Amino acid sequence: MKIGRNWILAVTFVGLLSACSDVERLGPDQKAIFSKVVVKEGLTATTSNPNFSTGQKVGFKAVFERDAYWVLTITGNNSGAKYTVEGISNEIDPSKIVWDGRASSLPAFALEPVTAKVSFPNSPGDTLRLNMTVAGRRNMDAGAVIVTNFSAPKIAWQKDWPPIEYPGTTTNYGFPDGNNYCYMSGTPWQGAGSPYVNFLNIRAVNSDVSYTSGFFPLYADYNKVYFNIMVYGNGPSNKTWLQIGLQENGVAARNYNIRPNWTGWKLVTIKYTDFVPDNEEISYNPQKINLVSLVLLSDAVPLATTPVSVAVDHMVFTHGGPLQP
Amino acid sequence: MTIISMNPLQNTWKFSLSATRTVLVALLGLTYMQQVQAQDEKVKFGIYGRGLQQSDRLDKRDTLNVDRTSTGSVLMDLGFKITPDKKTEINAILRLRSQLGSFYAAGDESILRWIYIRGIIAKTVNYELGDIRLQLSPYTMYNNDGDAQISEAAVFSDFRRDYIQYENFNKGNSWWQQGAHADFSIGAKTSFLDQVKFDVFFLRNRNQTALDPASFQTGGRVSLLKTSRYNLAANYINLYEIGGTQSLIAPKTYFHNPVGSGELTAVLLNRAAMRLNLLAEGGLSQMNFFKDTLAPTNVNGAFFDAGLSVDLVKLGINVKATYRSVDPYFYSSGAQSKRVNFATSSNDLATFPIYGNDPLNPFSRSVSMFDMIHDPGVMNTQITAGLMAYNPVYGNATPFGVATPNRTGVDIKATWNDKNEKAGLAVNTAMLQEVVPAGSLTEKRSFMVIGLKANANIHKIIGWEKRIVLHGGFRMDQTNRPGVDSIDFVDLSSNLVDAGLELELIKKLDLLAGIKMNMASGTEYTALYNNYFQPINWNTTFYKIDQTETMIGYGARYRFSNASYLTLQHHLYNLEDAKTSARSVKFDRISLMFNLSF
Repeated sequence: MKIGRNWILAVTFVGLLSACSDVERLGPDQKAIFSKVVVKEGLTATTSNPNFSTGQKVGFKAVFERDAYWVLTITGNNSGAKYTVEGISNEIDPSKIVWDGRASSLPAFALEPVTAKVSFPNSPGDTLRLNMTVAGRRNMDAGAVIVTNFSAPKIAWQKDWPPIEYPGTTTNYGFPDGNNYCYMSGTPWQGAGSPYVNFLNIRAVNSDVSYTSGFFPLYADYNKVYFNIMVYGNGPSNKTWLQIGLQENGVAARNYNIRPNWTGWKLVTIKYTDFVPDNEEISYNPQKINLVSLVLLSDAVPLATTPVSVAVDHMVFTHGGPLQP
Repeated sequence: MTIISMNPLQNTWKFSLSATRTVLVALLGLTYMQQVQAQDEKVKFGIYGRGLQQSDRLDKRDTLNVDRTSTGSVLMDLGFKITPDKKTEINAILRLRSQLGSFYAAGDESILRWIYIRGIIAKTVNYELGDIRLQLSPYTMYNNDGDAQISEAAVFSDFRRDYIQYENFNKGNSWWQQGAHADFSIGAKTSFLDQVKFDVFFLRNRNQTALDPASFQTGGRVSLLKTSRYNLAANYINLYEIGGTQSLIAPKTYFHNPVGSGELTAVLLNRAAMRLNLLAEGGLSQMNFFKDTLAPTNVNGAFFDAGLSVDLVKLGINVKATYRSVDPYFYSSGAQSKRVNFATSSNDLATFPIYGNDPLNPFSRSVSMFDMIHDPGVMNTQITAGLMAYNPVYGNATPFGVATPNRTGVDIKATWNDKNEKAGLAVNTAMLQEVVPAGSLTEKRSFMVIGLKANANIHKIIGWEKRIVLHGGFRMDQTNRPGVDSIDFVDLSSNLVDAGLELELIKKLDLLAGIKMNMASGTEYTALYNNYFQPINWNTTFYKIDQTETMIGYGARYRFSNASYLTLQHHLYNLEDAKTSARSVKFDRISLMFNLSF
């Protein structure tokens, strides 16, 4: 090829591939994010007394002069529950920023006054507030399979099981789900180095819902089955050891160990497939689960005389993901 | 042997060996391993062995850590090449590794490190299956070089090459992935076409998890070649997720990232003294989101890159000048994934991850020049969608190579290499600008990069029989954005210096010395992205920074052969933070490394 023809082809080729972008700007304006916020409309809500038990939701609105990095935090005045959402925009749009009564973590919201606050991390002095009242609590157990939440148990409580202690009896750990929890404590009683302190068993027929089939009504797809339990931890030096057991119609048993070395209430969610079976040969069959056991163990030193304790609440199975408090 | 478990993330199988176990050679004693000759030519063996002992010492200002730590390991990679017939070849590498300080096989492991099969079907189609290397163009599938290096001294490059890159399967600019590849050619022998070549591949990118679906890559290349005149090629690669494979019911969203480009290399002039080539590539990318009503529909981009390359053959000089424009939303996973994972948590750093004097508020180290040479765990081997984290102090103009989005401008490179390998010199400059403002309503960033690297085999120049080699390099990376106040204003400046010496004292015994220094000061904001790869906020970590990192290395190396050596080195690392002096840290490492390969 002659160089002249080469140049023509080259320019044509390059011209065909020329890039042109219809994007005018990339990302939010830094000056707006990092500058002082100018509020055009203060924080308002679509209702000040939401009844989440009916499925009602609350939309929030505020308008700023330009893009701002904002954080909306809703705090339960009594429970201390929190729900947080954040964004960067020149307005909080009530059709997009919607609260359905859930909490970002434990505890859950109770029937209580709440405070909605909009803060601006890059403009610390500017804050918007709004007072509301939760008129009806969100049903966090919608679609869940309840084992027990210890509020009004129908199970035949055996005399050698740990007591259901009301908050304020021995401890006052707050209301993770808005009602009572179970406080377990003691020292190992079997001797000879055994770590067992206390236990309780809940059969499907004796659960809060009394599943008359004798089995918890769970999905057959084992990958979608989760077990949830709220556990109160007493910090990193805690020598408590909690073992959760699932029995499958007396044929198989699976266990999962929890070390509650955190402080406060925490929702622990365990995939059914993460429970360790006592026999590797057995197949997954969540629809055969007919009993949930809870065993408190200790590895304190000295073992026989050092008391250990834990509080637990709200044991439920969920499908497809963790429980949303 | 019994298979115990398979780790899908590493695609390794762990084997338990029978009672008799080979005891690996102790580091400080030199042993010679016999090369195993297969009785049958259908089976061949190769061996790579490494022994590494490291001792670290931390600056006395720190009160949170033990001041001295020591680690080490020995390993042997046993390579097999099996050719059951003339058309098929099976390659595998079995690793035996032992942690120094463990006894009775505690801490030992045996893993299948690499396996692939390749062959030819019907004398026409070449195929590979298993762990394979692939590379397309710098805008479609390309493993860019690691950060913080330019003409690196042997005292550092030995570790980078034989430890870091070897452990992470880095070779050139190819990606080491798992899948299948096939290619075949059709000869033409016409006046305008010699050959048409086809390449196709299918790769597994990621297994499904509870939240993320499984993802794969498919792609290929068609090349039209007239060897003496032009090479015209079309590239395609698509990183795509398989919707519905994540464990959770919702969300079941997934995305596809197809990228296509056309390349042209045309010989415009071919004389004995000079060759003039046209280089051009242009293409498009898309980010398509599925089953997500909130997803944007316009995360698409394009690019073009065109220029000329001149070879002055007799002088050994090459000059290349290109102009490129890359859209702000040009996303190409295979080309923009980085070799260094700057998102590595400080807890995952192997060397002094936290330091300081306040146990409640310690300083956390981030990936540094030291880690890039000594810690294989900070490297990335997976092609990732979107833009990975990067550290602008190591280069802000093109952190993702030429495929860095939102850049337009000129690149000029000139290289000279002496035909007798006495010396080499390379100079490059890039003058780039943002295509659209990022983080500002009107002002665009401008970037200036100037690089210089040189190497000289002094012994060849002066006719000396013993090796004397000098390395040197410098790179300045300047980013500016005008602004009327401190928020808009961007002025990050980073300067990297690399220099080193190899001096052969007696036959095959070298004295090594080198220095690396990176000085960074100024202000820059890095973007934070949402799930749709759109920037939604700005990180102020690099606001008014002023820091200098220095690494000094010296040691000795005895070369048994070109690929086998024993080296004892001392590396000293120092981070000085002029803005927050308490963040400064200093530590050093003494390493003894034995590399054996045959």
